[in-house]
Amino acid sequence: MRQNLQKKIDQPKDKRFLTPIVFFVCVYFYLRLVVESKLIYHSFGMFCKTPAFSKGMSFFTGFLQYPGGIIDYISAMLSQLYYHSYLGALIITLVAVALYLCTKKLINFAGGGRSLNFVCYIPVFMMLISYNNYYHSLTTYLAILTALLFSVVHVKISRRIDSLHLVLFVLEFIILYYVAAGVASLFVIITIAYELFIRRRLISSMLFLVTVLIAVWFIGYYYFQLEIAQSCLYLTPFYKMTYIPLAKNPAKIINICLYLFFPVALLSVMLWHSFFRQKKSVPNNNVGSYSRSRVVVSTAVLVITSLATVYLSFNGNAKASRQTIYLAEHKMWSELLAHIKNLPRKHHHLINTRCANRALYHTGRLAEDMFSYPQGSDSLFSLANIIIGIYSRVGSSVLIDLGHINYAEKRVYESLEDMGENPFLLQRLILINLVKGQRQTARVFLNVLAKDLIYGKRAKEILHRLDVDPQLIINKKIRYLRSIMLTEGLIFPPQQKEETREILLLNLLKRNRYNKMAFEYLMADYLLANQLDKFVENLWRLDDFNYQKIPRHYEEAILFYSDFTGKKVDLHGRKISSFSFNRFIEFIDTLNRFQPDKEAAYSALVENFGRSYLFYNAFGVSGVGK
Amino acid sequence: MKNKYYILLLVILTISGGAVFYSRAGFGSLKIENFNIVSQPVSIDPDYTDITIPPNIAPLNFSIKETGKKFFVRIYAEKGNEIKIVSKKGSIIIPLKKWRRLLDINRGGQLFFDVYIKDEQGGWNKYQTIANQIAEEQIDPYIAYRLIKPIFNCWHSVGLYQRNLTNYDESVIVHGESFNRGCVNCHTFLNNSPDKMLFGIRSTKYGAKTILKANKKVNKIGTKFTYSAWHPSGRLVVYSTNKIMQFFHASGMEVRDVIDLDSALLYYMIDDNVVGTNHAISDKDYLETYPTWSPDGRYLYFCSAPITWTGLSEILPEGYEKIRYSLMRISYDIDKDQWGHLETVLSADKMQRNILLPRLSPDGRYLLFCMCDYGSFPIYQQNSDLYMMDLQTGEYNKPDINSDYAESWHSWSSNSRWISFSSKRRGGLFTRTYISYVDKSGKACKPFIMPQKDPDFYDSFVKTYSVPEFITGPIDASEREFARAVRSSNEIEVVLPITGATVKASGDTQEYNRE
Repeated sequence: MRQNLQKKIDQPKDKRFLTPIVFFVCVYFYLRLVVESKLIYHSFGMFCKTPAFSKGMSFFTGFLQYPGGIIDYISAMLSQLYYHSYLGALIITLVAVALYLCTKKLINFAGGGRSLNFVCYIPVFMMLISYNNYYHSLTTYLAILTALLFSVVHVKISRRIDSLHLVLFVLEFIILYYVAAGVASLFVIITIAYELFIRRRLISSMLFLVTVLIAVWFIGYYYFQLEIAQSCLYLTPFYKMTYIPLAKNPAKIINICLYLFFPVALLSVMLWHSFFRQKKSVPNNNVGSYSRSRVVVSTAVLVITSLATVYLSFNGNAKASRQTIYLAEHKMWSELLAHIKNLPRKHHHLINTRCANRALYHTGRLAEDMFSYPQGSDSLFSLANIIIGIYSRVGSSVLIDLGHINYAEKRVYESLEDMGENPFLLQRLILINLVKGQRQTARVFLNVLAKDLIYGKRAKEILHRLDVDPQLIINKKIRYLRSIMLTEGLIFPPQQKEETREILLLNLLKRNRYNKMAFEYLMADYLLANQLDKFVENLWRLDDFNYQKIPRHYEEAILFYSDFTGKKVDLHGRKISSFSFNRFIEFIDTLNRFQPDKEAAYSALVENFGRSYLFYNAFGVSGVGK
Repeated sequence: MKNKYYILLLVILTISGGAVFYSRAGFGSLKIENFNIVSQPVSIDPDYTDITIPPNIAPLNFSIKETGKKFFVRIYAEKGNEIKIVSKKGSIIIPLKKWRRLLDINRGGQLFFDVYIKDEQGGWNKYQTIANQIAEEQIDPYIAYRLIKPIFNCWHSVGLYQRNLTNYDESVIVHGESFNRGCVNCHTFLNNSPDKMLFGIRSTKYGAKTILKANKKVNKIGTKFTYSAWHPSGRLVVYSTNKIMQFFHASGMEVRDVIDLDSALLYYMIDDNVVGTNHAISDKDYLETYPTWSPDGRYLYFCSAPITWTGLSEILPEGYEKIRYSLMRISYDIDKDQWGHLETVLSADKMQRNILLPRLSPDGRYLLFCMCDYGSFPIYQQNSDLYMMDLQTGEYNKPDINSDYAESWHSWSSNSRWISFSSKRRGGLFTRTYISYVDKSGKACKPFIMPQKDPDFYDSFVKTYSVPEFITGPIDASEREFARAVRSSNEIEVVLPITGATVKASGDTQEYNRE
């Protein structure tokens, strides 16, 4: 009888774990299948600084030199595992679970009952919002989690060894401060609040505060010689707030909210508990009163909130650009083109267009299909003096493919300086130096890459290959790049102009007239700038390449040029296809019919011609219509 | 039960004792009596063969670049105990104390390295003995340099460091991270002393300024000294002000290049806080740069080139590749603040080469300088080499310390027997610091790379060492003091006789920025 009664009481208690288990399993699969941490990994060094990680003690010891270094190290190491989406999702989910459990425990300590269970999910929602926007804030989460863990341990242990609670606090704080730097403040706030409101020990809490101030001054400012701001705030979301305006830094806003959530939530519970405790003298033994309806309601609220959070905060634009980068990095050209083609127009920006053009070239479709994508005058690549962040890495790839090795080198170094050492940049530097015959420098970068968790093995293989074939003559790509790279003295002054791109491409063709990419990019550049006279001047170069027929966009441009100038274009025995000719006639007829009403002409033509050079020339728009 | 613990204790003690004995004895018990003699030098990296080393230098750890199952190195000299090192992978880490003792008692003598390698068949091979010379004269125990990534446009991680050459300790003097990711550059010391020094800073937040450390105080001067040189009296500093243009080469090994569109020399009187100049060192028709004083303080040496363009343009001026600097000097009386006549020491026209970065040995006997094809930044010129001039005879030669890559940024030790310089010889991109002994006749010996604890350190270090300057001791101001001075709103305000670099008139409309 007694056993049966016990079972009845225990059963709901077990079921209580079902909801969070199901919830976190869903979180895992959502992160794995929708967010895909590999997209975050591949955009390291573009949208955020690279969490550089290297195997070996010397790298690790560098992190021991300052408070917060250990969290930085762990975060950098775990970030490498984002390369595999299943591992990345697992890491994020485990951190979320730990945050949930710590929150639950602390709310419990603060006097909150099971009615506040929902509150424990709030940090997880904040994390989801952050990952839905592809922000990489693992360091902050780990630091906050460590502080919460220390808080839980402190509250638990200090109950048992009450006489030594101050000593315990000091020891814990020093360790935590060294591990998680400024985020130790969270631990301080929680423990002091606990002392003050739960245990009602004013002097003790004041002692805590004084000890903390002395410890921070001594460890951070005096011993590690940090700035006051760094001593107190490093790893907190408040650190370096002045550099980027908060309004332009939503990731930081989320992190600040997450950081503030814990003191606000716990203090609210403590205060409530503190003021109303007398009235509710009888503890609420929830176990027995655990009703089925309550479970259903709370689960429903959780599900609705989760779905709303996920749906409302998901940033499709961010995912699209990261997918583009991922596919471009792995040279998955067909998938990249399909991905960009399917993007809503609002998600099209320069990074997608430049990658699309590169993919179009590599699939042999640039001259056929480039106007099927939104284009602009700057859609190919830029030679501006300073470009950092996302464009630098994408730009360097295009420049390498073209054979402009030196300018690619400049771009990569700038990116390296701006965004930290990252395997993708290191790989480019290895290639660049091998192409330039600077083997010793290439080896330096290979040795660095050899310590990378993901690409280390590959780097060691190349090092081995270099031992066997120092010039890497057997490597087709290197041989090809050597055959097209610029070798004559061309100077790039700091102030680049638009025509510099043309000069560069012509020089690349002067160096090697069979550099097909340089040719197609030159022609594309002329088309984008509507410089049809120059385009026609360079049509003779078609003879240097094995085109089966005149590419579609070239035909359109030739027809446009002939019609506009009345001049005959020498096609070197080639013919314009009747398909292109008929389309051109149809286009011109329709255009003339609606003159001078450009808007009406646009509407009439967009459906059939929105992806042609004809339309781009007439309206300056491409990638629209069918 | 009690016996069990005694046995356990005995076992632990025996194992520990054995381990201690083994480690103390090293390979002493190993006698390689049977070995083949290989009549060729062993390949080691860094190359520490046939060099002259300071008696107070840190151990020259190296890696043996030969294949083998085991490696054994015996280091010995005429006097003192030999050092024996065994390694499985060929990484030779020399114990500091034993090394110091050996070098110290063998000053002026030779130091030998016998290298044995065990082959796959288990036989030992002894390579040619490496013989290095230990100099009598010590090297200045510290060297200060910048550590930077190969920078093109932006600087995010630039620091000024000091390294103890007698061991491997390295510490930050000041880092750009301490003032909003600023740039630190152009550090200069008075007579190799760490007590008086200058360096420049550039920061979007704190501007372009100079930090002066003198009389145990660190202050900020409200203007930027580019290349500066302390008068040996410590009473004044001559500095250049340069309008620099960076541009890029689309081909070739070195991508970056720099020219001065304009430059001039000025001097700052430390005590009076006054900046002055003289027509001879700030001629509007010439680019003057890279000042350096003769040790007696009577002559200022510097480089000068005629300006062949007009105005300051954003476009690279034509004929930039023909800009060649001559080596000039001018006498100066510091007590009367009086400048003498300008003399040409080495004419660029005569040499048909570009002369930059003159540095005089503290004994006043030798002048070390760079020669390259053109421009104002020799480290970006692959053909930049170091040349040594005997100031007594006026003759100069190209010492055997150069490579196919750029050599530049050289400095003398306080006793005039050691030079340090930057070289890109390890691949063409990263500058590394090299040290060379200069004997009394001015002959520079084969240089060696600054030693590191990890013999493979340079194989994966992606920063460059820039402007290595010998100093006689550590700098006694902390990083915090320097950073505080940079961030401080207090600065020594100076009135400049010219604003920025001199500007050559382009027609009648251009105004001169001079009083």
